[in-house]
Amino acid sequence: MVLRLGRREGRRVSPDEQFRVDALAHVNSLYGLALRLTRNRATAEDLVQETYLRAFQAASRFEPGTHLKAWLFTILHNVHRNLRRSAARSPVEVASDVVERAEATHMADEDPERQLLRETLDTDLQEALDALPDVFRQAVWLRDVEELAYAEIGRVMDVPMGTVMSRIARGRRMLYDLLTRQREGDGVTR
Amino acid sequence: MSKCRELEERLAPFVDGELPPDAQAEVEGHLEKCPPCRDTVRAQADCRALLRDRAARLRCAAPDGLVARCSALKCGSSSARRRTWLPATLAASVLLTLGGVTLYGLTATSGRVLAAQLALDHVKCRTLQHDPPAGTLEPTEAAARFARDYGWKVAVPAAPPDEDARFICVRRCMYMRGRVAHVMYGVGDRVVSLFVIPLAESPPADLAILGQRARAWSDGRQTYAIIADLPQERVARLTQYFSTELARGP
Ligand SMILES: [Zn+2]
Ligand SMILES: [Zn+2]
Repeated sequence: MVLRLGRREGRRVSPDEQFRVDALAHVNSLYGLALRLTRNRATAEDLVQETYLRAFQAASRFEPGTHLKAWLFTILHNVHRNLRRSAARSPVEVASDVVERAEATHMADEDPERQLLRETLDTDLQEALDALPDVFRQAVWLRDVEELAYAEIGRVMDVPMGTVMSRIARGRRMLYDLLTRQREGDGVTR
Repeated sequence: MSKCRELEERLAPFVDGELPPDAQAEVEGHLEKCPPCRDTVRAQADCRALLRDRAARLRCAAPDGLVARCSALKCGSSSARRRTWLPATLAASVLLTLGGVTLYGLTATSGRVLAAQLALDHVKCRTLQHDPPAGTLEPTEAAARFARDYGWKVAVPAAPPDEDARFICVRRCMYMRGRVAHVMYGVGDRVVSLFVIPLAESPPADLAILGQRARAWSDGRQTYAIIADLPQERVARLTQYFSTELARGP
């Protein structure tokens, strides 16, 4: 089923309506990020709906010409953070600093890994992503799936540039290690 | 090796072309002499390439119901703050069309629309339900976990003893005006949904919608609904049981 949200020919659209249409065009991106952040469909849906609710309320504060998707991500990030602050924390969460300290070292071999990585199954990739601590998963997702610039990611996550850099670097490294180790059959089990 | 330390932070932005030209050149110069850093850069680049390659498949489409609910939201701050999702002709029509029912003659606040939303959610959750057919938790444990996760105390009645019934799960779902607690039971090979709505809605009394039978009642504070693909008498009996259980309180 396709929902038609595009502009209709020959009909003039109010700025509010245009904003709504433009914002709603990003629903899949928002849902994708929400799903990665929450790892739960019902919560992800709540998150996206709340994001739109707030975005539409704040429509007048959006500066036309700036990156709408990044602006929406910022709202989603804040809603998510607030939700998590107010909710009791789920026990599966791993503190990011623990992981940072335990971060893996350089890999040894050359080409076998590359081969393994290319053959990664979608489900394995998804699982590996979900296994990353939140902040790393979010940074890598925004960069590599949503292709946001570093500065935009910094604004979305409300962290300085250096933190963006290290989260992307470490996130990718962990993902790489998870995927290559997983396929070799040692270490990671689930 | 201290050079490696110094440049460590820059290897990701290097791969992403996010460094200023002079910094980019400095990293390039180092990489020529340093195999470990070359490995790191390669891992970063491979990872990035993999994610970009799979981006479309990783980013799965938002469910139609969600799209409909979001489309129903309006701009401006007037009524939106109150968290009552506006009566959404568009959303309602999408929801109903999805179930093969037309919107003709229905108003957004009628009991029929409420029933349609719940019936649709019933069908959706029945499909999404990945748990084993009989839940691993007792209803009271599930209620406690629900209260802990969502800060919302909901009475979760035990499965009716004489109906070949078992408790499956309780989850939180959305409908157009907010959230509902969705309790699922297995009865024979069917799934029965009990919805607890924290608002006094205008409940449909007894009707068939989207191929499901819906019965609902309100105690003035909350609204309850049973949705099931079962004969009318069977649903009436279940309603009798659950309303008695719920009246006794948590
Ligand atoms: Zn080096
Ligand atoms: Zn449900």
